[in-house]
Amino acid sequence: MIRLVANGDESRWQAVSARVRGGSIRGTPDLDQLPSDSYDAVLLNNPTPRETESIGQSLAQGKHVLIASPVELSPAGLESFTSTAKRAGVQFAVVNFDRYLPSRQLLRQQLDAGKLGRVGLIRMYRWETDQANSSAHQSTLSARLVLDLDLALWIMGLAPHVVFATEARLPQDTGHGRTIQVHLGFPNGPMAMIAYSSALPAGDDYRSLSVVGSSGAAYSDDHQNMQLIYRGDRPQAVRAEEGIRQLVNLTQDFIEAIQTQRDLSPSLTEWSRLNKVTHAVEESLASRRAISLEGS
Amino acid sequence: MTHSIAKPADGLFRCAALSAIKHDYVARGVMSHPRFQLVVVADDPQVPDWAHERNQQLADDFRVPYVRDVERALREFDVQVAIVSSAAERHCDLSIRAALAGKHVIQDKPLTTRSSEADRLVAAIEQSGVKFLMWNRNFLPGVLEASQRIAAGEVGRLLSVHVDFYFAKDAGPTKGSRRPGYPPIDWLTFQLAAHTDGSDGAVGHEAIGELSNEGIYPLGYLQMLVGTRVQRIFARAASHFHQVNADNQVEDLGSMTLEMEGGVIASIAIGRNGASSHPNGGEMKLQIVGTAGALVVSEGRPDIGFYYRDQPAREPRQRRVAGENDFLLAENFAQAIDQDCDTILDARASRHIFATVTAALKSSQTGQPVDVE
Repeated sequence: MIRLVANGDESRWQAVSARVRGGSIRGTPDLDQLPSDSYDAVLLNNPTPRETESIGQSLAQGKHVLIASPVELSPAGLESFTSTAKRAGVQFAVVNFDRYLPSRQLLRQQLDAGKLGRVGLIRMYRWETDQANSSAHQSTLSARLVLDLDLALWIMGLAPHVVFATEARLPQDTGHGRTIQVHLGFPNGPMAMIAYSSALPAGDDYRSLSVVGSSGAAYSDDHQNMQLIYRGDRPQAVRAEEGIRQLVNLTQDFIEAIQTQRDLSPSLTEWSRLNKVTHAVEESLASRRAISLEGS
Repeated sequence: MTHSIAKPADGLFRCAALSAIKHDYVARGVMSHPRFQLVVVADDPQVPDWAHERNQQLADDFRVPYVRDVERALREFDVQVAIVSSAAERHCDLSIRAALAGKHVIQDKPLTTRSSEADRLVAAIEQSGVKFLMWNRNFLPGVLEASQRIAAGEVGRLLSVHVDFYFAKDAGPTKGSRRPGYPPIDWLTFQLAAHTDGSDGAVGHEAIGELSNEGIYPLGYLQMLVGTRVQRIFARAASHFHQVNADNQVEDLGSMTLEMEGGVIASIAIGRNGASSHPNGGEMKLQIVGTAGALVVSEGRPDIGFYYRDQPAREPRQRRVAGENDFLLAENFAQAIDQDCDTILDARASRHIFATVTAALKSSQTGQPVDVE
C-alpha cells in the first residue's frame, strides 16, 4: 500500500482515499507537521510558493513527488528537482491537472482506440474572470491558458511547428482582463485554436473543447452540460460538474506509477516542450508575427 | 451600355433564375417571399447537357419557361431580379450581365474564383445602381439572437467573436483510400455524381475548398455582428478527410484567426468533417466575449428531436424549426430596393469576404499572417 499525503482540505482527500486502490491519501494543511516516516509520496495540487519550496526537501527524504499544475516552476528549478529525485531514487513528475478530468480521460481513451481517426483540429475555449487569472506559471500568460496549450499538445501527441497569437486591443482599453487567441499549426496539416479570455464578469467560467478527427469528433462543452433552474425571470444555467473523479484519477495514476515503477520523467520533457510553446505564444503576441518552432 | 433599373409596377418582383445548376435552394428560398415570383429560368446555350437538364427541372417545377438565352430572357420577360446559382466560375459573369441589363441581383456563394471578377462585379453593380445580395445565413434564429443581444449592449463592447462551422457531410471516399495506380478523382465528375444525394459541394470545373465555398457564411456572421472589416488574418488549411479534396489540392478543414478593425479579434473553424462527426448535420456555434459579458449561441436552435425505429442513418435526428432565413433575406432585398438602402451582404461586403478568404489561403501557404486587401 502506497501512503500518499496531499496539500489541502482533509475531508476532500478522505473522499478520494475511499475511491482509490493500492494506496491511501490524506490531506493536510501543513506538510511540515507530518512525521516523514508516515508517508511514501507527496501529491501537491496547485501548490503555494511555500509548498513548492518544500519539494526539494521531500525528494531528498526519499519521497516521490507529483505536482499537479498550475505550478510556478522555472526550467532551472525543474532540473534541480529532477537531479535530486534521481539521486534519491524516487519519482518526480509535473502534470496538467486538467488531463485527469473524466471527460479528458475518456477522450484520451477514444483517441488511443483510434475511434476518431487522425486528429485534424482541436478547438478550445476558456473564459474566466480576471480574478481567476493567477498567472502562476513563469510566463506572463494566464496559467490556465498555459494548461490549455498543454492539453492541445497532449491531445495532438506532437509539438506544433508554427505558433501565432493575437490579442483584443480596444481603444482606451482598461480593466477587463485579456482576450487572447492562440493558433497552432502542426506538421502535415493538423491545427489547434485556443480562445482565452479573462474578461468575464464575476461568476462561473466557461470551457469548451472539441476535437475533430478524420473519422469522428468529440465535443465537451459547458454549453451542453448545463442544468436549468427556474426561480422567476430568465432561468439560470448551472454547470453539471465532473466532481471528485478528477482527483481520484490523478491519485490512482500516481499510485500505480509508483507501484509499477513506471517512469514519470516524460512529464518533465513535456513540461519543457510546453515552455517553448508558451514562449512562442508570448513572442508572437509581442512581435505580431507567426513563430516557427521547426527544429527546436 | 447600361439599361434603366427595372421597377415593379405592382410591388411584385419578377425573377429570372440564371443557371440554377448548383442547387436550386437560392431560387426556392427567394420564392418563399410572396413579393417574388419566378417567371423564367435561363442559361447560355453552350452549357453542357447536364446543366440544361437541371435548369429545365427547376423550370418545370415552377411551370415557367426555360430559355437558352440569358439576354433574351432578361429582356423579354419583364424581369426585375436575377437569381444566379451557376458554377462558381460563372457567378460574376452572369451577375454582371444582369446588372448591366438593369436587373437587381441575388447570387449564390462563393462570390467568384478570381479577384479581377470580384472587382468587375462591384464596378458593374455600383455603375448600374442595382442592388446585390449574396445569399447567406445571417438571419438564422441563433445568429439573429446573438446580433440582437449585442445590439442591446448585453455583452458590452465586443472583444472577440468565434464561429464554429462544421458540416457533418461526406464527400466521397476518405483520404488515403485511393489505390496505387488509380487516377485522381476529377472534381466536376465527382460533384455531378454527388448531386443525386445532395452531398455535392462547389459544382464547376475549378476545385474549391471549404474556406472558399462555405467561408462566406461565418465571415458573413462576423461582418454583421462586429460591423467592421478584417484587417489581418492567420490561417491553416488542410485536406484532412476526403480523397477528392486531396486529389484536387483543396482544403476540407480550415481555421482562421482574424484581427478586425477597432481591435476586436475573431476566429473561425470550418470543415466538411464527415457524416460520422456529428449526429445532427454539424456543430455550428457562435461564441462571443464582450467587456460586460459573453454569449454562447447554437446556430441550430430552436430544434426538435426525432428518433424512431428503422430511422434512416442519414436522416437528421434534430430538425431545425421556426427558421425564417429565406424569407428574411428576401425581405431584406425587397426593402433595399424599396428604400434604396444596402442589403445585408452587398457587393462590396461580399468582395471583402472574398479578399479575406484569399488572404487566408495565402496565409495557410506562407505560415504568416496576411493583410486583407
